[in-house]
Amino acid sequence: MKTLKIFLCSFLLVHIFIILVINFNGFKYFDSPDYSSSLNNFGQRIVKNSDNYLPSKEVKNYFRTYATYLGVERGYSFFSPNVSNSSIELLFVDNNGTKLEIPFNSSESELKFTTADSYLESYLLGNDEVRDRILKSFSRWLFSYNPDISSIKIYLKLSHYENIESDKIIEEHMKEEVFFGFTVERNKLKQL
Amino acid sequence: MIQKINKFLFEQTNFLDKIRLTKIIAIFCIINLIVIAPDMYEIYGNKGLISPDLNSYFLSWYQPVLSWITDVFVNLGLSQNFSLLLVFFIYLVSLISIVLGKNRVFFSIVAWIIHLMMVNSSYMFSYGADYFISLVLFINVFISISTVLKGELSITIYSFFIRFLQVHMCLVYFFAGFGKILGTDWFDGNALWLVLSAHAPSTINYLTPLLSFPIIFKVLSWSVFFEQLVYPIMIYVPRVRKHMLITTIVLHIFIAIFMNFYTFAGIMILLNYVAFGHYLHNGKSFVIKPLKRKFYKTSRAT
Repeated sequence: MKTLKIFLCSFLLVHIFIILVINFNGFKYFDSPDYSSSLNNFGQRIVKNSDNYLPSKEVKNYFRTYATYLGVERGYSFFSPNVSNSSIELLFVDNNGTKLEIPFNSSESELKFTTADSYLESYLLGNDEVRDRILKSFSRWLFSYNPDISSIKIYLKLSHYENIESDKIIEEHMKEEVFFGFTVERNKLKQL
Repeated sequence: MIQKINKFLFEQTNFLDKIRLTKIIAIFCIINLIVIAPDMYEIYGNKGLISPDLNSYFLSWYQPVLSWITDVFVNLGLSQNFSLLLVFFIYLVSLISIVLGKNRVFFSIVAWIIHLMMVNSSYMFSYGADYFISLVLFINVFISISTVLKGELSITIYSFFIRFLQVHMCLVYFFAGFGKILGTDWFDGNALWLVLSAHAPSTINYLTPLLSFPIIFKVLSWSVFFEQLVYPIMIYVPRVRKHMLITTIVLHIFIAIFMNFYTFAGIMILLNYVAFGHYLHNGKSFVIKPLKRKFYKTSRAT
């Protein structure tokens, strides 16, 4: 029994350490132009020094293996350090000008799709390869669901929300803009 | 000191009934499965919205995916979609078996692994709620093991894994609060307004009149991160812990109502209930007990 208890105690300590590393590692992402301007003084100090608390990359990779099996691999800084004042939604339009919908049967599935949208948002400018893979994957599904269409135009709907202290907030709390993004020919992704 | 740690981690017997907990966890997962099942081919299928090629970009080789099982069925001559349906059926049967108490340990392991595969197979579609479901199913494996063990070993395992979850929940809330105090939005009330604008646009028209009183948004934003930051301490203070648990559950109910994050709110309430639910039955409260006493005194007097 004593050995089991020692093992369990060690397991708990390792778990706590891994969660601390994962979450402090997450703060490193706040050290980017998108976030750094909106960090407060305390935030800037923590983010700048977050690297000092972290072990090497190799050690972190071992932690990731453990974390993926327990479902604890993503940090817990929800809606932090600030809340985005914009969001992106994908709109699909076929060659006849008809808007294509993805017919989800539950609000949970729609929420999951919003999560996928947010991935696209993070890869939209920084990583063309991933962006193209995501768009190709969505388009492939839309082509198979709509066998009669020959091309899909993808628009990006950007919603911008006014800050609470903005003078315009009473008249217009949200502004929407739609940008034409890409055209996808059947089985062929073509960036415009 | 060692004795105190030993008692804290391994000798607690006042937690909720373990069999009831395994049943509640399994029922929650069955409801979650029913909600996503109609779209399972779009979310998890090989020809779904996320192609396996794209999904694999985000994964490492050691992360189990559904195709590890479906490929076996496909090689036996079954179609891809039917194979996926079969895996979902195995998951459902496992959860039902946990509820019915048939081979609880075996089926809790099966349910945990299949759910892990579901999360990995739809990496881009998976969000916080899915990861917390994986965690609760992992804890469920050990709660189930403790149900078949006897005597001190059973108490040791059950007590430890409930404490493990408690510590984990403290870390979750601490970092949720800590992340918020690094920025500016949660201090000036902007965060709450932006969250509602993005996730609950239908409520904005009702909330617009409140913009003349920004202090309301400020107080509510502060109360969110304050609640999260003090959770790890207050949840262990005997006089306030029940109150803390109830306000945390209320916070998640508001998240469900205003942000439509039903599964996320549900799993967080479930995790709180599994970890600290015994407070609701035998905890001390500085508000409820005095009120009860006052009520009894008044009823006696009348």
